[in-house]
Amino acid sequence: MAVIDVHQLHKRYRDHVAVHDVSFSVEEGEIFGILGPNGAGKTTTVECIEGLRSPDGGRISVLGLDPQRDRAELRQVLGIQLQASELPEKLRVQEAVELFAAFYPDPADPDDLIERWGLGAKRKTAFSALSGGQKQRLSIVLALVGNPRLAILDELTTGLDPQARRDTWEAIEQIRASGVTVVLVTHFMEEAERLCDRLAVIDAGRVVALDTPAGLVGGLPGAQRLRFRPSVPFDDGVLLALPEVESVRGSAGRSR
Amino acid sequence: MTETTTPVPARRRQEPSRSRPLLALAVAEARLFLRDPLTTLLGVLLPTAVLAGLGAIPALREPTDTFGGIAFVEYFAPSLLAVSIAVLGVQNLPTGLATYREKGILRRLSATPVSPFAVLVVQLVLNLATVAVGSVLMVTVAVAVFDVPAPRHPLGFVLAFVLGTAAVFSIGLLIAAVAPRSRTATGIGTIVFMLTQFSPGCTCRSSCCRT
Repeated sequence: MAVIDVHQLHKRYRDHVAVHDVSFSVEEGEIFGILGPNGAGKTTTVECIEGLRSPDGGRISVLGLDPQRDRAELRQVLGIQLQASELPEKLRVQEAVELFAAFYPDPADPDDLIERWGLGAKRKTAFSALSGGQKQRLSIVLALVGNPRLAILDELTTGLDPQARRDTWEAIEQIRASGVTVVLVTHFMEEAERLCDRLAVIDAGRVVALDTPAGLVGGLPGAQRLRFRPSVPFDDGVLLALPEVESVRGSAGRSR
Repeated sequence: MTETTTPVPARRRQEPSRSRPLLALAVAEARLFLRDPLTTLLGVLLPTAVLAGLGAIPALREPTDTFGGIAFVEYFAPSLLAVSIAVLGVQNLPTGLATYREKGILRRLSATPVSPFAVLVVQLVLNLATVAVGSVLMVTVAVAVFDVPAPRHPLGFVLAFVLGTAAVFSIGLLIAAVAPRSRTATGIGTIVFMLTQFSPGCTCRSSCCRT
């Protein structure tokens, strides 16, 4: 059974349509990517899945629950990492994790999670004193502390430096290894290609492609166009004789 | 426990822990509250400090005709209670809640099983508790150190105090509800603070009495 089933989701804000028509399903145990440019409707889509927004049309089922009707039940099995949300400045790492653990009926061990995510040395550090990467890791810990069956991570690596980004990628693979289904929202193709089993590309509120990363890349037209300026003029036939070359365009039949 | 299907123990564990999220939130918020020395200072100590400052001036401890035959300290003490109520009710409470909304903290909490409503309740209770502590301290110092008579109608005093606090805190919650940002909340709160200080007589009563 699919963990998430989205069918013809539609959502508008006043006169602006954020999501036209989005359908996809996420299978248990996979890392599913939602890829697209800024403003494509990715965040709105996942917020509808999380039950934080109510859709204007379509059906959503998450772990067999209706995000709007069964909000309370869904909260207990869903781990959410929100795009750009903060914590109180003076709340310390350990306090935050223990606080969130207390919200769930069957939480993970806070100490264990803090260690595993490399925040052991920062237990007593206030949220405002953490680096960007540390804040993101804390954010992941808080999404996982309830022992969720499904984790939705929104723009996890935006604003991180390359090293912190790679560390976060390894971390996400770790989440999947522990049996949690992951939905990853991103606008980096590199990230999607590295992590995702399947991904949906959303643009202007519609799913424009839905495939494995390899399938998406393979589906692109194979030809490449090369522009160059030769140092010595030569005959086009030299290039056309090569099997890979389809056509040569130059000025006046001779390349210069 | 031997192996069982997962939903059963999950639900059983859920039952005794219904108050646990709220309690954990209250503890965490109280800790943050105490970590902010300015709030504690303003909320708890300000009225007492003002009273002590005024009381240090001998002339203000003497009964005078200007205030109907009582000392200024005695005359002014009840008004200081209103300062405490208003600082917490229309400044600290709405600014705190608006900051939480602005930073996405309320949204983050609404993504957990705990309801953001719990944050509201916890903040409200914390600020009310601070008002209570600050007021008890002020009244105690006033009575014990400056010979201000204790409230003559304790029940009436408590009733008026509770109603006044409820009214001011309602305004504070209203500010929190309409202010989109913490700075807006602080701005509105400051104006409302000034206005509330007219009605209990900090400013108005003294000038009225002179005529």
